[in-house]
Amino acid sequence: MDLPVASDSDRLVYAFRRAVTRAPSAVELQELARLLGKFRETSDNESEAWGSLARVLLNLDEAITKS
Amino acid sequence: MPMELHRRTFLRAGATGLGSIALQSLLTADDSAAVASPFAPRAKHIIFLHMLGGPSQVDLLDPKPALARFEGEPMPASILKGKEFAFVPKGAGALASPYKFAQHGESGAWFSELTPRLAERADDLTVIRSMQTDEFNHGAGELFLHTGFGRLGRPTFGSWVSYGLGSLSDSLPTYVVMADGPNASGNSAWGNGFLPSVHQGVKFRSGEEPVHYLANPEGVDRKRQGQVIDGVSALNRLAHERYEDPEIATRIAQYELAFRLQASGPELMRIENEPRHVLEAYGAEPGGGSYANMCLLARRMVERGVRFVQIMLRGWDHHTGIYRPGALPRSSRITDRPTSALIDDLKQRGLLDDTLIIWTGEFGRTPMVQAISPQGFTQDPGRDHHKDGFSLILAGGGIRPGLTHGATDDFGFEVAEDPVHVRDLHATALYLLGIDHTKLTFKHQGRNFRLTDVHGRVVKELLA
Repeated sequence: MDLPVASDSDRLVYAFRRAVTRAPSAVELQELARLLGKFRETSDNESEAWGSLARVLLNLDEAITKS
Repeated sequence: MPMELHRRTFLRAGATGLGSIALQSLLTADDSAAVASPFAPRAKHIIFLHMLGGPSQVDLLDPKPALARFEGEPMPASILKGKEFAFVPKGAGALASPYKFAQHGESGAWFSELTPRLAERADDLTVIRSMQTDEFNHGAGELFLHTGFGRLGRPTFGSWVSYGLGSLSDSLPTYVVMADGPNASGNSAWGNGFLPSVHQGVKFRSGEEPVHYLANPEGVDRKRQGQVIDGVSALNRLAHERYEDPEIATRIAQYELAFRLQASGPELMRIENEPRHVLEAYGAEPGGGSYANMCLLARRMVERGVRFVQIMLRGWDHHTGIYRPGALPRSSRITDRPTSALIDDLKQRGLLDDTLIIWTGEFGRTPMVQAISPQGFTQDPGRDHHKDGFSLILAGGGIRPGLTHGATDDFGFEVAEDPVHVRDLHATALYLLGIDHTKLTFKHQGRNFRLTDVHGRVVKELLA
């Protein structure tokens, strides 16, 4: 796996692309960062926070709609 | 409908921020037409009890003593001219009902011995004996009953009501469907057709989890789930801005409704919390998906603000079994007690005035016999589908109780007085909800559509 380890932002872009096959807009990236921050506040560890973020991405209309 | 306006309203609601404000505002800002009521509404809720297959009106609600005189003889050719049936040949003989009919209540309405409890409530019920539909097979008949059209693609009555009036509850769906098994037309019987899909019926299963995967995944608590749904909604709103697809609005609304349903659903479904005497009145037993349980749930839903409840009970397609205890009499028994209990329960709680109950099949059954054997009568005769004259029961919701409306001819074959087409039923039910059926429209493929299309008549004689 070519998982980027550089920064939160790189990781968020990577995850978003994996889910919806396009890069997030600036506003979307901002929103993703806000969510990650919120998940971190209420998570015991990093993987829990990122897990919640992944649940968001995989439930997006764009991720689950093929038409 | 001005869809753009709705989008703007929607986005404005979205722009006020995330979290609870948006969560609260979304459901009320759904894509409803918000039709101004031209009439004072008499009913707020509909409970649509669909007896799948087509109950035999000549054995239940519309006595035809003349059939006994012609038992086994072919129906007059003049009556059958130009008629189509699914199975019976043209020469099929008359089949008299083996069941005793009697008049009940002060109204003197006729019921057969198959539904003694409904008979006891004759003065609360309205019977229409002159129903007509356009379709004589199940799939098309179900679609016609629910959408006013015998092919796929149109919104159902419940969807139109959702579109026209919107929700009464912020934690339960507007339009809920329950069934004891599959039906011929599948989920098109509660489909939204060309209306935004937020208006489709939500099918509930029995048990504590009315929709699949309602419980949170392991390791996710309600707070975390709320944060996730909040994030999904925020990003979906950005996608909605980008693509302007109303289906994204639906997705947002449904996710947020599902989140609330996670809390409200299990509570709603827990019929074991009902007092014993209530469970007994319905014949309901916690845990199963029986018609009794569905009727009790219908009351709980109406109490909690569900606007349209559609229950589908299988077992009425009596091509055989008019006499057989395990067939028509059994189906009658299954419907009799819970339906009666539902009426009593709503009445006792003061909800019957606000709730229109419709008990009907997609069509009725022929007064002629359907004998499987080519020799004529078998040991287990039945009746074929019949669309030109059947009966249904209404209660509550501004309908005149104790009325028997319309009549069929001596054979129970054609409507002889006051025909009521399924479209007239739709028009009348919409009227009771405060909606003019000619005004509730949606533009699709270049023209305005409505539930009654270019037909339909409010049957004023039925109104209280």
